[in-house]
Amino acid sequence: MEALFLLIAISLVVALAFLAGFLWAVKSKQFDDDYTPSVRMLFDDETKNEPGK
Amino acid sequence: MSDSPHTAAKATETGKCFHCGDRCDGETIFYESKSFCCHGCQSVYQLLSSCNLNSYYTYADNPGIKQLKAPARDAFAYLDEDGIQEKLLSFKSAMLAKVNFRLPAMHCASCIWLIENFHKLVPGVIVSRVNFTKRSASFDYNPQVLTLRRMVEQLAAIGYEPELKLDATSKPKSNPYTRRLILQMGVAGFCFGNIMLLSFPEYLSAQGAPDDAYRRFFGYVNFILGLPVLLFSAVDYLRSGLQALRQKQINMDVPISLGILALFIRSSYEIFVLGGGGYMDSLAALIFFLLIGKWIQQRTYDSLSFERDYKSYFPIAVQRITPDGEIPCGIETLRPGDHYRVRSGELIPADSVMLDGIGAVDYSFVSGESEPVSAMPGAKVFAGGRQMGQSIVLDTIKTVDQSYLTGLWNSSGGRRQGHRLETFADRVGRRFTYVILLISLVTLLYWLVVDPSVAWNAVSAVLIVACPCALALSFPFAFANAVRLLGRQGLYLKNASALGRMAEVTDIVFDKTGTLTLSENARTSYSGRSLDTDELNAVYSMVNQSGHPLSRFLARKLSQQGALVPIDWFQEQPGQGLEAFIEGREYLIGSALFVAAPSSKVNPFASEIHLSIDGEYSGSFAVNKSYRSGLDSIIKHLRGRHKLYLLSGDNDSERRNIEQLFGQKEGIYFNQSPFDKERFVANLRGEGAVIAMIGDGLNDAGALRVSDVGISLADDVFRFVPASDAILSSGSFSSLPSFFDFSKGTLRVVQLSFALSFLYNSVGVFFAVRGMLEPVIAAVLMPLSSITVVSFVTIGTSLLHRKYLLKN
Repeated sequence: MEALFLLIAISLVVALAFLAGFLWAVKSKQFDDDYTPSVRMLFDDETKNEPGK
Repeated sequence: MSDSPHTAAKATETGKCFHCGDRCDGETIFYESKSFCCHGCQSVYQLLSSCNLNSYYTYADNPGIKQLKAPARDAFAYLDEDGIQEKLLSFKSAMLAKVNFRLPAMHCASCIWLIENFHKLVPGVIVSRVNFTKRSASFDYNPQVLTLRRMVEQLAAIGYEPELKLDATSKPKSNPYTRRLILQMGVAGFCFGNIMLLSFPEYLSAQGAPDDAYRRFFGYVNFILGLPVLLFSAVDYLRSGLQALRQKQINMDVPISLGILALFIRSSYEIFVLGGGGYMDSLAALIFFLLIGKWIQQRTYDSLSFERDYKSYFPIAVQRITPDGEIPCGIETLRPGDHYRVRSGELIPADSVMLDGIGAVDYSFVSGESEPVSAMPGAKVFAGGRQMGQSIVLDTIKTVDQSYLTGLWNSSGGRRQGHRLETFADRVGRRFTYVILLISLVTLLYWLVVDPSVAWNAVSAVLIVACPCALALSFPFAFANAVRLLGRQGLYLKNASALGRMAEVTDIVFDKTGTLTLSENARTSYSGRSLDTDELNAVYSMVNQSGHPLSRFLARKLSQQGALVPIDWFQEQPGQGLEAFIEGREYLIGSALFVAAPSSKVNPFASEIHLSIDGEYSGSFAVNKSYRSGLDSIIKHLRGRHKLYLLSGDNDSERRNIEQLFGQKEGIYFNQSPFDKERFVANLRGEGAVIAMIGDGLNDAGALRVSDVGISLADDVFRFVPASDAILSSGSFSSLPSFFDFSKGTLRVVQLSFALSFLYNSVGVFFAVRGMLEPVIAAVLMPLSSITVVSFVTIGTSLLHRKYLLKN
């Protein structure tokens, strides 16, 4: 049953990694605009049939 | 509040413009088998398709913006000035410059797409990125290839003219406060989840206690996880509670802080001294829920600005006249004695004296006067007026920040905070706190006498259980939902507490010009001897020559029926009238005195233009303001529940109409200066009334600010409106009575939810005073009460929405 201590420690470390990810996301302004990205991702990728149409 | 406040007007007619979706009236332009309503739309289409940007038309139907009138060729010349560029650019080096613009015309996915593909249209743009919720976009460009002016001109050419006002020159400030709140929420949520997991053994410990070593271990980990919750996530509540106590006030944060501290101290004691589990789960859950409430309450319309001052109304630059010619310069550099030019349609930025030209200055936004004022050289003109005639040359007499209009903003600047109406939630919170403190004290005294060993247990339990979590949640959730629902109908509230005050409004004060009347839609009626075509044409040709506001107005109205004829001789007597010979006949147009109109034909209360031909009086044109449609039923509705007032900056020519409309003679005031309006509202408030002020112009700004709920009416909510608590889209004006009913209903829902949460608190306190609060009960009771209260208010407000707002 001593493994429990280890497992809990590991699970906390994993959780902390997610928390760190969240902190990074907030700091890099990903939460500043929660509407535009939802539209942006629907735009089609550029097709490469450049000028001359 | 992710609903966009934009309501797209959709034309369903078949002959609609491929670009902007407007109906094609009159001439329709066919190009590539598509129809366009005007050359402006067609040329934008042509431009976009030549750059392979046709996808613009695929992400939304008819996304284009109609070009009403092209800006003057050198309208953006000032952007070539280094001093102005420096203030606008957020970064500049030899190869790269960054700038951020507000583009109020953006309204759909296609707009986002086009702006983000702007580099394909304009060489030199490196990257552009849209923040749609703020209606802004940032551009990186290469200043060696592209000038700022050229870029702005290109944006304007495709219909997205940036909003370049004086406040754009002060650097935008990001909002670190919201980001911090999100961080606090994330940390609290993280700790809450993990503590819950580690507390499960404790919850289940009734059947056979877990091993003591585990119990201690879980306790310690919980304590470690509880620390960031207390020290980071909860710190704003503790600080606010402490601050309130220092100022000898009681607010809702006081019992919350007491609950937090009691939870933390008691849990630490149980963990370290008794080797138990503590209540860290309840603590983390409490903070997490509270922060969600706070976040919801704070979410508001990013795209709207409720705090605008004169700086967002004034232009950035004027054409200064120097010995070396006309050069654009920033308006804050204008000094008394400087000469400058104001072109047609531009704002006068500072109090000045006319030097040259004929002024027809529209002050309707500034003073509420509905008709433009004519000004001759030598006359004083005031900042904020808009020149309607040709270009004029002015001599500055006061700097921009000392002008009349700016004084208006500054005079009432700091007075708003502090003595506004205390909302229902504040009042309840305060009384609630006293009750809690009383119960704790009685519990403490009782147990000190009966069994001192239980006393500490019982008192801390009371503080924990009585912590008004549900109470603190019901208000933000109910009002945030209500604010969101109102936004869908066209009323955008600044925050939840504005709605709280709106529910308690007793008196409503209206502005007239622009609020109840529409100056653009005024009607003219002619009374007198009927005029034949020649006479009508002559009148049209005469007024067309004049810069006087009434002449211009009449010219606009007659342009549909009249044709221009040659004038043999013409003379204008400033302020009196026009005299002309046309086809051998003498025409006099102007004031009753000038035309020598018989007094029986003169109505002193109306704006009239009299006419006589060959010395014989023919009749008069009366200019009637048109009122917003459905106004009488709105007034009738509101009159039942509120006291109504009208304050107008205009003359009292419409007194009789207004009195009839309001059905009352008292409370209707004309010739009110902006300061009079502000004073009037402040006095009413002093008598204990709760005031909603509804206005649209800068002349109402002071009154909007001192009222309990300032509602500014706007045709385009993304454009400039004076600082206020709410912005009402003018299309929704007729729903005003239901908005007030809805806000009152919301308040009742909140009251009911408060009763509900008291019930929960009483149950908890019932256990707590007897010293029997198990962690499980605390852990279940608190989230349960919060969830029921939150769902109750959400469902309640949605039902009200259906009842009041969806019926029409």
